[in-house]
Formats: sequence, C-alpha cells, structure tokens
Amino acid sequence: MASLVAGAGAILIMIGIIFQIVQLAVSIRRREELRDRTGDPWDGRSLEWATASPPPVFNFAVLPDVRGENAYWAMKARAKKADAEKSETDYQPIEMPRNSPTGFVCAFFATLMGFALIWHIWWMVIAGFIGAFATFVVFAWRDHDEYEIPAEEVARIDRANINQRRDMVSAAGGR
Amino acid sequence: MSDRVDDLHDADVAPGDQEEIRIAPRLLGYVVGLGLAVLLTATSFFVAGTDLVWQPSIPVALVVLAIAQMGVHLVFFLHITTGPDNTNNVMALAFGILIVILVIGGSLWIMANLNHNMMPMDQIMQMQR
Amino acid sequence: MSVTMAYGARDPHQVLGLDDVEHSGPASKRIVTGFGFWIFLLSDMVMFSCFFAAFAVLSGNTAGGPRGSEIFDLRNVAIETGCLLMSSFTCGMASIAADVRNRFWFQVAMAVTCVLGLAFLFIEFREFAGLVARDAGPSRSAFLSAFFTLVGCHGLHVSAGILWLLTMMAQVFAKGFRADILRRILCFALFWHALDIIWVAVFSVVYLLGSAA
Repeated sequence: MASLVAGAGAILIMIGIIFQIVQLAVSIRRREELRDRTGDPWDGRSLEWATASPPPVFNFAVLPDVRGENAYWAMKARAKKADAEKSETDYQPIEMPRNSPTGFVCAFFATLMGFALIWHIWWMVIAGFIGAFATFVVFAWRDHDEYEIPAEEVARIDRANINQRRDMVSAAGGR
Repeated sequence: MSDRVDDLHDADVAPGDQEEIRIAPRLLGYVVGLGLAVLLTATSFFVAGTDLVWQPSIPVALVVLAIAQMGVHLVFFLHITTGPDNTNNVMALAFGILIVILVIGGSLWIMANLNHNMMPMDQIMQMQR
Repeated sequence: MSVTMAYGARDPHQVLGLDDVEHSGPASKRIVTGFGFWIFLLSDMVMFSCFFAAFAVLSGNTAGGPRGSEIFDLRNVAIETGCLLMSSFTCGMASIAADVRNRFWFQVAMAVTCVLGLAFLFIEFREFAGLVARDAGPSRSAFLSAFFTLVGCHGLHVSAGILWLLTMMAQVFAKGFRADILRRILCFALFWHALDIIWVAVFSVVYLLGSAA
C-alpha cells in the first residue's frame, strides 16, 4: 500500500520535472520575443522596478519623490492623472565614488598574514601586515575619491531607458 | 532619516558629534566626564579590595559601577543624548545592547544548565553523601 | 535650531535648506559615515561580548593552574585604567581642536593620546610576558586561554587604534582639515572611546571580580 503512494508521488515529481524541462525549452526558444527591456515586466509597485535592468551606475537619474508605501505605483498613477509625458526633467551632474582595488589588495595581504599566523611563519606575518597597512595608508592618501557624470550623460542614459520602456508599453497595447 | 517637513537642516546628529559649538561648555563636558569616570573607577577598586562591605554584594556592586561608568562614557565622551536628533544612534545602541545581553546571559544560562544536567557521577555521589 | 554639523562639513548634494524644498533629502556624509561606523562598532562590541561570555563560562576552569587572584596585579591594572581614561579625555580634546580647525592643539592632543595608549600597551605586554614566563600562558588552562583571548583582543584593538591615530596625525599634517579627513577623525574618536568602554567592562569583570573570587 505504501509503495503505491510512494509510486504516485514519484510520478507526480516526474511530471514536475518534465514541466521544468518544457519551460526551459520554450523560454530559450522564444527568448527574443519574450525579452524585457524595460526593467518593469510586471507593472511593479515598488521603486526597484523604476530602474532599468541592469540599472545605470547611478541608479536613479533624479532623486525619486517618494510618497507613501508603494512609491512607484504612486508615481505611475500621478503620471497617468497628469496625462503628460514627463515634463523635461532637470538633469544634474551626479557624483559617483571612484573604484579602487584597495579592498582586494588589502584582503590579499590579510589572508597572507592569517595563513602565516597559523603556520608560525613569522617573516610572512610581518610582510603581510606591512602590505595591508601600506595599502590602507595609500588608499587614505588619495585626493580624488569621486568622479562626476556630466548632466548630458545622465540625460542620455535616462532618456534611452525611458524610450525603451515607452516602446514596450505601447507594444503591449498601452496601460 | 529626516522626517520633519519643515526642518531645513539635518534632523540627525552623527554619533560622536554634539550640537554645542562653543569650546568652553564642550571642554567642561569632557572634564566632568573624566571626573565622574575617575570617581567610579576608584570606587570599583575600593569595593573590590575592602572588607567594609558585605562580601557577597561585591560582584553586583562592581557590575553596577561598571555600567554606570559606561553610561558616563556614552553621555560625556560620545555625546549620546535622548533628544530627537539622536534617536537613530540610541536605537542602534539599544539593539547592540540587546544582542550583548542575549549572548552573555544566554551563554551563562545554557552553560550552567549543561553543567548541572551533565554532572559526573562521582560529583553526584559526593552531593548525596 | 543651531546648525547641527561641524564647521565646513558642506553637503555636496545641497540639501541643507539651501534650496526651498518642502522635504529634506538624504542625510549628510558626516552623519552617514558616522552612523555607519557606529553600527560597525556595535558589531565589534557583540564580538567582544562573545569573548566575555567565553571568559565568564571558563573563569573557574583553572586546570590546577593559577587562579585570577594569584596572577593579577591590581596596581598595574589601575595604572592601565588611568592611562586609557586620560587618553579618552585627550582624544576628546583632539575632537574639539579638529572642530575649530586648530592644527597645533589637534596634533598635541593626539600625540598625548598616543603616548598614553602606548603606555597602556607597554604595561599590558609586560604583564602578558610575565605570565607566559611563569607558566601561566594561554595554553596552561581554559581560564587563561579565555583571559588571554579577551584581554589580548582588546590590546590588539588598541594597537590598531594607535596605528590609525598616527595615520590621522600624518594626514592632518599633510592635508589639513579636509572634509573626508574630519569624517575619519570622527570615526577614530568613536573607536577610541568605545575601546575605553570595553576596558571598563574588562577591568571590572576580569581583573576586579577575578581578584575578589
């Protein structure tokens, strides 16, 4: 009796696996027509759907005006009510932090130091420590920790994303 | 973190910063903090070594004095206040303290339980004698 | 309401009421940096609480070796405590000097803090070396392992703090009171005061309670 139940369960699982394989096959076969370029495939309610996917390096071109819990939904509702294309946004240059290999380099020396501490390789302990500390000091000494994305570049990226989104919306029959 | 609509300045203060700008009151704050801390430290050392107090109360007294001194440090050196601009700092601190209490108290409780429940046979027999 | 921030800590995103917005934007860099470091410090205290818990549980397991009352020299502990307490005070002086942009007094206060910190480390190192020489090192018993781990971890933090202190002195000497250097000084002050707070717990619970037992 038990083996019947177990057998039925196994068949159910097998059907599930078959469905999975079918889903994979269909998704890969139809990937061009199914591709989403807006970053908002499900008409989202919260702010993460307001950016493109992948998002631009600065996330939001303009600081979003958050009112209430479902911020993005509220933004869409307001835009629909105003029934306007977004009025020309005032793009400002955005300051972004500069990349740095410091974390990686420092961690390398720290790992070296940890390894040497385990095996009592004292010269390596000192070398690793000096390397880590020197990296720290070099990083602290840099004068420019930010770079600026000019307003035109911000505008260009943002308009590209907006256009893509508008195209998808009109292709889907408008919302 | 800013929630007051009409507040055009930052509604928060960084931990470690204080609103007071004049030097004299700030200096005085540190001096008072130092004085209180020295007082509490001296009291701790005295209580630990003296015969003038009921001996079983010494651990409690030391813990209370330590907590008091930590409070003095937080108020006078780290400028943690109860004002609305310090709310976030206090909340974070409170959470940290909660975790510390759980870790230390929980560990002591569990280990005491284990010690009692796993007492070696000869110890149990010794207790029954 | 007076300006809540230290002088000159301009906010690059210009949200300090300079534009007539009906709502404020994100907090200033000084606040964000300070609060972030504060949260890190609290996590550091949680780590120390783990070592405290281990010490509290193992404080009776002396494995036939020396107990706390037999190895702790309270005179040294008192001097260490005094050094660290004074160094916290002088660190506060350095913070004030930084806020009013006085380079001379900043360097003096930081130098005194450094000397006091080094004095603490010197005494502690001598204590540890003496214990190891008397066969009371970290491998002698669980109590001593926990002791060396807890107090040693604090000492390592102080050592790292000294290195950071010297770096900050060098930075102010080379570049003056730039906004990001001021933020680092704020974080350093938080770190140094937190170390003193932990030392309060250490000398009360480890040394004083250990000696009374």
